[in-house]
Amino acid sequence: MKPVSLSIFLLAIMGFGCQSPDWKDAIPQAVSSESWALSSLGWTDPTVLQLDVGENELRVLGRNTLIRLDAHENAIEASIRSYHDIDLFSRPVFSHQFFLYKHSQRNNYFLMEPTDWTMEINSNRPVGVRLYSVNDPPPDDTSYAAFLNGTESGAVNAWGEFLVASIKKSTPGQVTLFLLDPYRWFPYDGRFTNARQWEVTLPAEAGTQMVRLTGLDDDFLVSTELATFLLRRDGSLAKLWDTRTTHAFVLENGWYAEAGGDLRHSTDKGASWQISGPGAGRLGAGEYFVVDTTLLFARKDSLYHVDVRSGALKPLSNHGLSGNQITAVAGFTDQVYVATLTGLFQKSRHALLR
Amino acid sequence: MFVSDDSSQYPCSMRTPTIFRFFWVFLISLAGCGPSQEVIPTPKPEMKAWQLHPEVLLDRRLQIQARATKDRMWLMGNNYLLSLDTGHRLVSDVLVAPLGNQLWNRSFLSNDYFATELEDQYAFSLRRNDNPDKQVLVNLRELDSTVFQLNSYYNPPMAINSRGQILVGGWVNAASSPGVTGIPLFVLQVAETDDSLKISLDRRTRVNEGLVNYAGHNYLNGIYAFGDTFYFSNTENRFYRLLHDQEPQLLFPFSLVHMFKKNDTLFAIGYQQDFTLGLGFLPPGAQQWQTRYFGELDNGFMRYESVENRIVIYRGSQLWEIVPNANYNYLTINELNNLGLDQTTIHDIEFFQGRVYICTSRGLYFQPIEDFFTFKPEP
Repeated sequence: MKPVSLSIFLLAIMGFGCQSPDWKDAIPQAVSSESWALSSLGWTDPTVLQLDVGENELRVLGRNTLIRLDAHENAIEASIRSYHDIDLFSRPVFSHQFFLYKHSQRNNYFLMEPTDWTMEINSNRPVGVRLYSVNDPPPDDTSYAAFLNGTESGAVNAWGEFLVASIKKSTPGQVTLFLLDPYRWFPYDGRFTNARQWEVTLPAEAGTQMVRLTGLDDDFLVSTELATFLLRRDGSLAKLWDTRTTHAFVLENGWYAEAGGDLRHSTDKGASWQISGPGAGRLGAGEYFVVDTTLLFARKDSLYHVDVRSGALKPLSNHGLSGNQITAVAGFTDQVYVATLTGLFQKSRHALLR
Repeated sequence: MFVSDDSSQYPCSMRTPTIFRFFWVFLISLAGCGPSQEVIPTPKPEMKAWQLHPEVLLDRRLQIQARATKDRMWLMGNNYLLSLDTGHRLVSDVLVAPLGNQLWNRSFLSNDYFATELEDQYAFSLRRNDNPDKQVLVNLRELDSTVFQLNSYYNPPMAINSRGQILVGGWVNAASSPGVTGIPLFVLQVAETDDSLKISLDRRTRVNEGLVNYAGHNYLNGIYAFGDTFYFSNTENRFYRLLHDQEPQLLFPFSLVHMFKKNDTLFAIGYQQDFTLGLGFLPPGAQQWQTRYFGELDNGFMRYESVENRIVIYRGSQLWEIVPNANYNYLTINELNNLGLDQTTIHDIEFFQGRVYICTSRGLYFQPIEDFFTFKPEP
């Protein structure tokens, strides 16, 4: 053997024996249980607008992408199962006042920004129900003057039915809500043929400024700036109170709504309401999220644990998360995911309340 | 890809007997196998992590474009216009685009003006950087009814020249204006008084040469101004010059991606139709552009910037420097340090007051200029 070959041979052997520490790079790093860690899922647009837990998957809605994560058994990190370009040519836009709110809905509906609205629901008219702004109605629709834009333009109930807010030409000072049954949607032409079930027009004194549209089990809570209504699945409308409702959500022990600074609680599907304590909205604009039975309130880069009985707020650790604007929180597998405008973060559920 | 063929830089061309070479290798191998605390680290260029600007946080972090002036750096985020002073402190923060910045990431027209596009993309507002409320609306459909939208595609969709004129193009939709081809262009004169901005149409022109792509569209892909001359190209590989009193003149086949001036020489980087990377340059006083082509560069949608007269390209979270040789016959490409930029997308690079700033989807990051041209070691 020539010396050169021998030296290469020796080098190779010794190199082999010396390289084992490098193998560590191939082993996924354990996520710290104490600090929020950026999920290393490999996409380069880190903005997440909404999280949505489906059957065995976590849907992560970005500005231009929907990513589905499935849970490997016993795996800490979820992996990318599918990757859809919602709109390949959509521009990198999110609207500043809306990012905190719901952009995705259950059953694969999307509510995107007015200019990037990707879901085309069709009413009886051959016109896509798009989120036109109030000042710019769809030019070829004869019955609707406008569809309300912004966050509170749609909601989904437990049946997967979709409530859409609009303004009709015949009642320009009032909000008209109509219910769409997505199961009548023919998926291949992208149209909701005959999907509209009924429509309800709010009284004129409620105004047209929508604050909240939320599905509560089978029904919907509808709030304008001036009044709050309960809209049942059958289309019957009942006024709850003459003030706006900033938040509404469902917990195990009933429905909750925050209005007038109070957290209000109903155990009878909205027929009667009791004040249970001060609302977390006293901190400022934020959003409630439910992880298992734990009620959280997220504001800017901070997370709070909310005691629904007293309204007491306990700040949770945001170590690793500070400086990131929270948009959504969801529990999936044994992890809690926090979506922000600048990345998806996660930590173990066991460490959440510590 | 073209790299230097200068082999004299290799240190291993020693004239040593083979047997010594063998021992040399053997010793190196032994050294590598000692207990870990005794390992002598091989000298590597020191990699310093990019730092996040501590005052640009939460929903201000998504940064799209930076524009450095002598005493201010303007920052266009998705919705906000921010600025830093010479001490790198955040000194202004104004909401300028409630529905997001829509000018394909390039809003700043000059040190004084930026533009925001309206929702329907056929009108834009010209606004002052230091006073965004001072603005004037320009509706292209009023100037030309065949215009469907502003013609903007990836690069700066308009530019302002030394005469205070803006060049902007309209996009004609084949569906809404059948039979109309080409790209209408508008030269707009900006006039400013103490309390208002005014815009008037100076003249209109157009480029017509069969400019329709596979989808029936004809896009401009970048408008730049140097002195009173505008330069622009379309996605169909035509590079034009527009002198202030003439019609557009076709220069050479080129799809522009970046232009800059270095030592009074004007440079244009772009592609030919087959993604062949090209460099055009116009030395001071010269009338004729010189061009060089470098073969296909497998870089997809890279973007080009110039930082302190050096060419930097970027894509995703990676940065490279391109170094042409003296005759521009070949290019050397070195990857730059991007430590700390995980999961970001770089949108812009700007040098300001001793620091290189990069606008990314996860925030405004910076490094001292001394550390910026640090090459990433080969993996």
